[in-house]
Amino acid sequence: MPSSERPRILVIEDQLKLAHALEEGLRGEGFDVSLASSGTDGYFLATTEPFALLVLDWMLPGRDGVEVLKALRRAGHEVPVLILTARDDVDDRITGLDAGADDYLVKPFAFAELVARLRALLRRTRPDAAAPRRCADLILDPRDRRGTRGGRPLELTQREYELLDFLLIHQGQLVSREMLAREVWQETGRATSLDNVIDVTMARLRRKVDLDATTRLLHTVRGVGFILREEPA
Amino acid sequence: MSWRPKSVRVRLALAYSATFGVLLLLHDMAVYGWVRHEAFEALEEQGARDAASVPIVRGPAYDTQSASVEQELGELVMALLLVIAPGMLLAGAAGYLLAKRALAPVDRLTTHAARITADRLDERVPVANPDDELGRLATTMNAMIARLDASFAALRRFTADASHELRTPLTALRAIGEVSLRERRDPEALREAMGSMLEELDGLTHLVESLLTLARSDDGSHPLEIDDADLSELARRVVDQLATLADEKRQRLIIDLDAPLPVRVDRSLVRRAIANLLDNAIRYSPPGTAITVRSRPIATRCVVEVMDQGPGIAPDDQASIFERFRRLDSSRTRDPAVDGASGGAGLGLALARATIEAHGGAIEVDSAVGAGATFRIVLPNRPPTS
Repeated sequence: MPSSERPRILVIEDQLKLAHALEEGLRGEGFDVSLASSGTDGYFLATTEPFALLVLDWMLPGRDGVEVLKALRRAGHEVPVLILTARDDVDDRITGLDAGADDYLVKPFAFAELVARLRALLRRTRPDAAAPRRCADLILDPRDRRGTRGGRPLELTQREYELLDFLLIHQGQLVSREMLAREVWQETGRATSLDNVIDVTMARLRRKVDLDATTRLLHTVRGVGFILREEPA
Repeated sequence: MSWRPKSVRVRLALAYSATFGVLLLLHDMAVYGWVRHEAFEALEEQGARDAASVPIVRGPAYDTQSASVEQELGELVMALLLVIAPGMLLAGAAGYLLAKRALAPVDRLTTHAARITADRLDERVPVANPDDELGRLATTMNAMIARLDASFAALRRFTADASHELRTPLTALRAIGEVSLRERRDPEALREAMGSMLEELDGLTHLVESLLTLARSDDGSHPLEIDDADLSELARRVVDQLATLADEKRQRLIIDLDAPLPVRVDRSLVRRAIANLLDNAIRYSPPGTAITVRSRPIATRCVVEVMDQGPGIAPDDQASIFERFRRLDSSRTRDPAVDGASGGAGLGLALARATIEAHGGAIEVDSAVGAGATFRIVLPNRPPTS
């Protein structure tokens, strides 16, 4: 991404270790990151400088996240806000969204998940649903829901098709099991059994997609999730 | 009332004394009224007799006598009123002593109850006479303390188990981190170590989430999202989802899901409970065996069963498998191939039971060693009117 297009993002988080990890990680993902470690500082920065996105911790010293958010919205700031919190009660979720948050992520979260959600907030437009998706010689055509690898047709089950489609949409990005559980399997909670299902389905998909190919496309990143990209076998 | 004596004894004594005083006063007024009436009637009669001889009806003689009667009556009033004060005092004292006697066991109860804290819940308050009011109070208190004792013990065991389960992945995390920092490692080996640590972290996250869910179901703070649902449909969705796992182990899934079984449940929680049963069946059954998922109505209840041809569960273990952190290492060994690093901590069945019981249902197991196991979820029917 050229530097002029690097989206500016403000991270308001008081736990310094986490804040610095996010700063480094998001910078690596092509964001221009600013940090604030209290609600008061965060509010000041958010109201004086233009940001494309805000990542806001719920529990902050001085002025808590929801207060900052409400004040921002009252002052007419429309910047998309993602709230981070260790509380995942339904009531808290509603409070956060009512206060004007655009998304909500419960700690501990996977970094890949945060990045995916931030990109979604930036994009706000879905990719063209009908356009064929491709990566190297892998092509998936949504019109007849069929895929080919180097011209060889792939026998995909419905779930495998949806999984591959999701990976293609997010190609080059890390995709966590949480994201797959929610987006491909449409499960809100994440059970151990579902993790096993995801792993098995991924293994089967890999056998179909990467079998006999000189270039592997589906990669497991241990402890994090999966990524689809061109990489020598 | 602004002033309130702190002791029930004092309050009873005062009430007793006041009641006695009022009664005495009423009694005095009655006596006075009656005596006065009698005295003047006698005077009138005498006057009437005198009137026959003396023409003046109310002469000086009458006045003198009347005045003396009034004086006598005045003295009577004084005497009567004088009795009230000591009477009230006596009544108060007697009341105080009586109340003290009657309430003595309450003081003993208080002293004992104060000694029983969270650390000494094995003690009980004394029961003097189990049949009277105070005896019943003491018995009730003892039952309450016994329940507290049981739940504190469960809580302590749960906390200890949870700490132990948390300690295992923490130890692994620490070991992997320390060992990979000790020597110069190439980036690939470091990546490997980090990945391994992240896997342990994933397991920890799962564990903490399960513990939270259990804690919420314990204190009822997380209300169920109850909806109309079809139990067969819920089971079918679970089967669709987990079929891949059975397929991978070349296990045959026999699906016998009856026509719609209307229930009112929190769909995602009940699905997770069914998924847990099916996941266990797949995990613990050898490859090539058959697993049956069956649903049917039984009277006013709906039933989902998961039957496997696995190693079975010994009768002694059948009750304890639903307890938290119970994993039967003897008969049901973990399979690392399907279990992975994020494998269960032995909370799955406990969670399933908590879920099903929160819906007013039950979860049961039929099994014998070597003869497979049948796990059964029983839920109340949805009434047709609702």
